Amino acid sequence: MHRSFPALMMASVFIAGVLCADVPASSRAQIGSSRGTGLRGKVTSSDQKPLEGVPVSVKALGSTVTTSVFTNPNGDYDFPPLPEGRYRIWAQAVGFELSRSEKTIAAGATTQHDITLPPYKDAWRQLSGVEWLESLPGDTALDRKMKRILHYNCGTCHNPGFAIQKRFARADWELIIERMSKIAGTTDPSDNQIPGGGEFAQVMLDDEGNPMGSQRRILELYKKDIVDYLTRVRGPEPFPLTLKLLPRPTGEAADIVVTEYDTPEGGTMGRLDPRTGHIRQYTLNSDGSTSATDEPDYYNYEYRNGSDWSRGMRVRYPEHEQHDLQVGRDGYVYLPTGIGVDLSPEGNVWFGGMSTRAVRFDIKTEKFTHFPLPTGSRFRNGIGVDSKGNAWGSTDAGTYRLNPQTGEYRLFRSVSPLGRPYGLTVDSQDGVWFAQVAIDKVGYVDGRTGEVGEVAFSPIDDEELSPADRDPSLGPGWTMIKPLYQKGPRRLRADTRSNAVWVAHYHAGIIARVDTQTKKVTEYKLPGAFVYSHPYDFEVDKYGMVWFGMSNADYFGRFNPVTEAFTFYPLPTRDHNARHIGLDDSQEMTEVWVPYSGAGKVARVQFRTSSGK
Amino acid sequence: MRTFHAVASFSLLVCGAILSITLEAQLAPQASPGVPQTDQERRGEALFINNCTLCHVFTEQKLSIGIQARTELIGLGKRPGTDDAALRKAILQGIPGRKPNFQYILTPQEVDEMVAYLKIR
Repeated sequence: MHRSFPALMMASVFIAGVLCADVPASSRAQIGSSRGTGLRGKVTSSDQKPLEGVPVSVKALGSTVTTSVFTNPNGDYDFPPLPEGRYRIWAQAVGFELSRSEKTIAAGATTQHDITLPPYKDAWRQLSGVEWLESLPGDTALDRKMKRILHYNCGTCHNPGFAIQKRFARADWELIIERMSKIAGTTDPSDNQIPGGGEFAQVMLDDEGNPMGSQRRILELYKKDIVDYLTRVRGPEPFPLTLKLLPRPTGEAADIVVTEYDTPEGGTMGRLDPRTGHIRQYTLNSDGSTSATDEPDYYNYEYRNGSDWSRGMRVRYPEHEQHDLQVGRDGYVYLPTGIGVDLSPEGNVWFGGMSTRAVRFDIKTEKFTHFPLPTGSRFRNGIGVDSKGNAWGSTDAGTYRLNPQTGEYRLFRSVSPLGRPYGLTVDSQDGVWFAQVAIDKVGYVDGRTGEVGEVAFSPIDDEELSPADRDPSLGPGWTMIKPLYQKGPRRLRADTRSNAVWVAHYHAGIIARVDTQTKKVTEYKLPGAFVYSHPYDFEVDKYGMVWFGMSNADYFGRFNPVTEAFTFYPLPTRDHNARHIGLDDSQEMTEVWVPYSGAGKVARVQFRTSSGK
Repeated sequence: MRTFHAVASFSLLVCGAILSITLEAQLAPQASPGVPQTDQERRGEALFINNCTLCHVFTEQKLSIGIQARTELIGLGKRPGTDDAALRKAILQGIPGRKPNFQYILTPQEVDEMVAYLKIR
């Protein structure tokens, strides 16, 4: 052997080591999807029947990371390798009690842990949002109408199940509905304005003599029916609900690993390292400086974070709300405040929706720069960045474009006024699209010419809608409350590899494809109970699969535009109220990220079969 | 008559002061609620969040439309005359026209948990 060979070998090993160093982008695949030694077992009922599709979850004591897998048709589950430690383990299913235990897991060893789930007599407490609406009576046309009314009008600040799971006497339902009406009124356009333009022919006053705006008018129309219905089915007298459950997941939908990372309180933005679950929290201070901490505060435990389904559904605002997230190109996942986030061509993070300024976070310097809007202006629920690095944000009048070099904003006014611009996205030609949730339209700014246009969606018209439901003088609602003939386009996402913009009709349970060139609209109604799911936002992966989140279903969806087939994947947290979705398709297998708006966590989903492509 | 006017004026002054204090109490920042330490108190906190925050956690929005309660119930457990029986009654019976009652929703164990939380809130 030549004397230089050992040196050459050592050099080769060194070089290989450098090339294979653990850079964050390659580390994303290391945990989730592998099988082998580790924690495994079988889940059965108390009469020894195997239970398929049951989530089994583990969380190391003192950790902020929960890992979950689902059982196969034999009731078997197995986890990918877990770090050594002492773990809490739990499993549950609707109709079965939550089982809890603790186990020490040693690295490299196989740990068998079989679980028996006794029956749970109060299964109604465990229902998910869509299951609540499915389980309400619907044998008569009036009852079916009431389900639609509750679905359309009681599911923005909380999901409808949050209200339906309670029982009150008539007088108390009246009190509650009156307070809901007043809250909705605080977001209405000024009292006599019709969204889309014009004024109502007649002023409508409430019992205290206050004028009612667009949303309160709709609620007023249905108020008596809602109170009658809720008093009947959720009142003092027990009502025999027939629980209609979603089938537990099976096949590829159950062959996933879900890693949930607790999110901390406070701060302006978190940066999550998916390898460890550690979050560095950054704060944009009032003097414009940036501070950071590696020890943010957490306040999150099982009674408030959806990990025990028997605690029921929650109102989301008191729970730490992680509304949006952004998978970075640097291996980290960014957790900004507000609604709306995007990456610049350099990979910097832009956010600031619902505030008075756009904010850019430089991932290299780890510093914020903020760009205040003109006085009196505010962004709404969408932020995007075009190929030239301009930032765009939806606003009441349409959309702003920010030139970050000059700090100058330019307003592009929507064609229709008072449309309540919401989500925003930038397409493959630098066209900018923004949803107008109040008037069932999407506006757009042509990427070449800067001209503004709009695409309208047709109203819902089925035999169960009465003339009163379709009365145009009713007004089109706003963000929380809508007439039954409207669809409610809320957020949207461009497929940057094609001419498609995907739009989520939040109220109607429909996803729509808009061709950016021809403006043709193609709509797909979500199947079965998922029509109640409140589809919310999208990502499109490099294989053309359309992934979408749903705020009222503890699932996320995948739509195949070629086969027009839907697949629904479960998440182990009850009432996550997710309003955004993220994607990492830097590897062969797509990974989906879901931020929870109502449960203080974000979830990373890895696919164990090829369903991730 | 002069005595009556003096008494009436003094009464109005006192009432005005009380009203002023009450309004200030509604508008001024509230003390922070107590943090649960036991499992029962945490369960009670979760129930409070799910059932009571519409009225008993103050915001400018709720104040502007007159739907928030008189108090956020912070320090309730330390007030004289507030015992477990009084708390249970308030939860289960409510106040007609102002506060719903929760008798059809909460189990006896859940009421105990909520009482435990309210005593430390």
